[in-house]
Amino acid sequence: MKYQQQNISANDFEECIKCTICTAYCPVLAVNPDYPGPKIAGPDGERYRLKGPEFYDKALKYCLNCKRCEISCPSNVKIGDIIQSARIKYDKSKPKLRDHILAETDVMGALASPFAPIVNPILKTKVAKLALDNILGVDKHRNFPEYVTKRFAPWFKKAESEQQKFPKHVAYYHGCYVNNQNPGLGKDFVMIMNSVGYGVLPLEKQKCCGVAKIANKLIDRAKHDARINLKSIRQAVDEGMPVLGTSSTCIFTIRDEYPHLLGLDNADVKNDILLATVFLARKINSGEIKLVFKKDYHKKVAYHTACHMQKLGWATYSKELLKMIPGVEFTALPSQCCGIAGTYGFKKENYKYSQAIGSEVFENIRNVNPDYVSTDCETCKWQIEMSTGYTVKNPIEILAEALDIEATRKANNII
Amino acid sequence: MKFDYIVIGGGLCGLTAGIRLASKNKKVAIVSSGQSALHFSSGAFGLYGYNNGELVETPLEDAKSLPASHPYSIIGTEMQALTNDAKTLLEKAGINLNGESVKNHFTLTPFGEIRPSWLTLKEFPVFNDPQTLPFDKVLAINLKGFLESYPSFLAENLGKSGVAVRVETIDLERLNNLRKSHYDMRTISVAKHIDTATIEELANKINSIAGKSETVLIPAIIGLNNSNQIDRLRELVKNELYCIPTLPISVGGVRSQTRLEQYFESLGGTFLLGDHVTKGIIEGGNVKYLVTTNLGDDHLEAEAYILATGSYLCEGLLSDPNGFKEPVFGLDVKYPANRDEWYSENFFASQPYMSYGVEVNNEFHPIKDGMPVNNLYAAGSILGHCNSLEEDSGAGCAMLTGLYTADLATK
Repeated sequence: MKYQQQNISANDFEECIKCTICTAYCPVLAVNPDYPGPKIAGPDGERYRLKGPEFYDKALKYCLNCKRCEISCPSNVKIGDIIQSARIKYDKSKPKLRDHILAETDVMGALASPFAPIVNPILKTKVAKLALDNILGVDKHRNFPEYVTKRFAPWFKKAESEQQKFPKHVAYYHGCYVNNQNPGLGKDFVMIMNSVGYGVLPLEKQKCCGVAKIANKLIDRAKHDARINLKSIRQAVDEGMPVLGTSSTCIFTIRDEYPHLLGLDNADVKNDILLATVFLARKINSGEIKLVFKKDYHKKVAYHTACHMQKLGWATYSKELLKMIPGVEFTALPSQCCGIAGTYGFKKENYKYSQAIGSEVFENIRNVNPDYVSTDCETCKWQIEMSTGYTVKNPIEILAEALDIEATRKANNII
Repeated sequence: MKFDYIVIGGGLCGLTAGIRLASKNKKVAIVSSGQSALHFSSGAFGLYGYNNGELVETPLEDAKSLPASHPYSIIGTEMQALTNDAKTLLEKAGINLNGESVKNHFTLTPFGEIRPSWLTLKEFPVFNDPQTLPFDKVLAINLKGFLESYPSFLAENLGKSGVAVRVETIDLERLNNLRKSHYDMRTISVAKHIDTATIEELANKINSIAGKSETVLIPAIIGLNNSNQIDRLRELVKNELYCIPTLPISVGGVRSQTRLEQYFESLGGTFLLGDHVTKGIIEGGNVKYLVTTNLGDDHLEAEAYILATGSYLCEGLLSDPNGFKEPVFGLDVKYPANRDEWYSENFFASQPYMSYGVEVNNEFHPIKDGMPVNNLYAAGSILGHCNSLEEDSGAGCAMLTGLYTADLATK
């Protein structure tokens, strides 16, 4: 008998058995009736789109790309990738000026940083917010993450000779957020690594990971940056260094979206691109390093699993690290989408859906009433801080705050 | 990563096993590649409902006559105790049920047909005599535009048992927005929109149309996250009220899955959802470690492993025109060489392929290349010699073998 031996469709779409489990886990479907849901937007719609591009449904733009459909699929269909690939291939609408501004996170950072003392207060004014809302379509409720005057990259470059002195090294992909908005997180990471005996080195070159460019269909720009990133990552891996990041979304994009959506193969280095918490937890589990924490540290921490963290499957490492801190009273929040999805929630037309999606997350946080919410994603941080008023920190920042540096250096025999 | 025990599969069987192990203060991980067949549950858990098409009244007693290779026969005398444990486990997870294992009761299908059941979620009607329904006058509520309930079938089938059925369609304000789209008037989308205000609106509308002695039946769209919503509705509605199952995927199924996951995690268990065990390495008759898509170089290691990956639906078993296989370990699966013997031409007849699965010895160690794997147990619908569709034994087999293998693993 002659039959097709294997699945030959892109993103396994012919493996879909129409079970509809994905629809139960789609955060958008519950709040936006204009969105047809992952099964119809994904594998069902793909059959039509293969017949002709006129079957493309513009409502696919409402997909958050949270990948929770893929996580729930019992047949391993890459539903989110099918939807995003269709947007890239068939949606011919041009990105608006607003989309460029939101997507070019590194360019905006470079432009805004020298004028941070002026830009930040202006962006906070009602007038500026209304102007952004009316002219550009950036929702007026949003707070723009503040830019810093002293960016991370120059500090990191200066620290290089000190970092070279360590016997072992890792490379750091800091991304736009650490560079433009939160250099403290990068410095915390370097401090932790140093105290367990690792020097932290910059990549030869690094560009924005491209997640926002992909979401806003600036695909050529995203590919350009991705090639530069991959080249530097390969160079670091060749020198024996793993490449670590502190943003789950950046790392997810480099590992999964580069091959799936940009068509850039990274199989040779994928296992060496990791989140910092994953690297630390693994080294602690294998007994290679030890962390010692302050005795007087007491905080109630609620961990929020970002969608891309759930997709990476690594939340267990970050949770494990936070639970290691003796003074931390730990709660894991149910893994749900907070609604921001990068630049999605900043857009005026998505604001109400964004907040409706996140409402359960916000309620759960209020019920726990923690000192800190912790998450590995910076856009979740902005969303949760804006919507609940609670302070949100990356697990690395909490580890750094709780770490007894001297005792840790001693425990790892660092002189 | 190292654990005391690792369960592969996060459906009813895997979660039952994981909860049993975690309750014994063991460090347990469940790896679940996607979501499970529990989402398809109508809300009635079957232990043993049919024997060659005949209704089974006393499942525990009748199971004694099953062939020696059937999973229930391997469990043997411990079956009754395990059925009690299974019910307790579900209740502790917050899943409220009616039913006992010594005697099956009866409940209704989405079309109003009568079916046997072991444990049934409390929102559904249950009765002991299949000839006598617990109501003689019914008001069947239909929601305007709802695609997954069938009131005319319900009326016709209940009519056969002498029940008078009146159907009324009502409109809920909260669903107006949803009705804009032709995809969305399905169970889960509707269930996600039910909030406190909608429950009150629904109760008021039911109260305004229900006759004095009528029992109210509504489609099972209430209580996606917890059963408090159902309790609240029953408080507000003056008449007796039950749900009728909808088509899969169901509110009761999703709720049961969520409750079990949360219970497992509350016991300290690690639930790795969306990760896929690509291979299990066996050396010298023992599983050494597992390789997964997300964890890469960080292999999963444990003292013992329970394989609860399910059947064809969840890819615990794979089939093609040449045969059947178990993809994680390449375990032995028995089936006739002649392909024509795999299936019956009548689609609704008993299908032989449904009872193919992995072979196990008397301690549920699966067989690979003729030899048992010592620190591996197989449980649930991946097991051979059990046709859960024909027997209506899917939930029972999942839970009892899950509990039994968890106990064997910790002995």
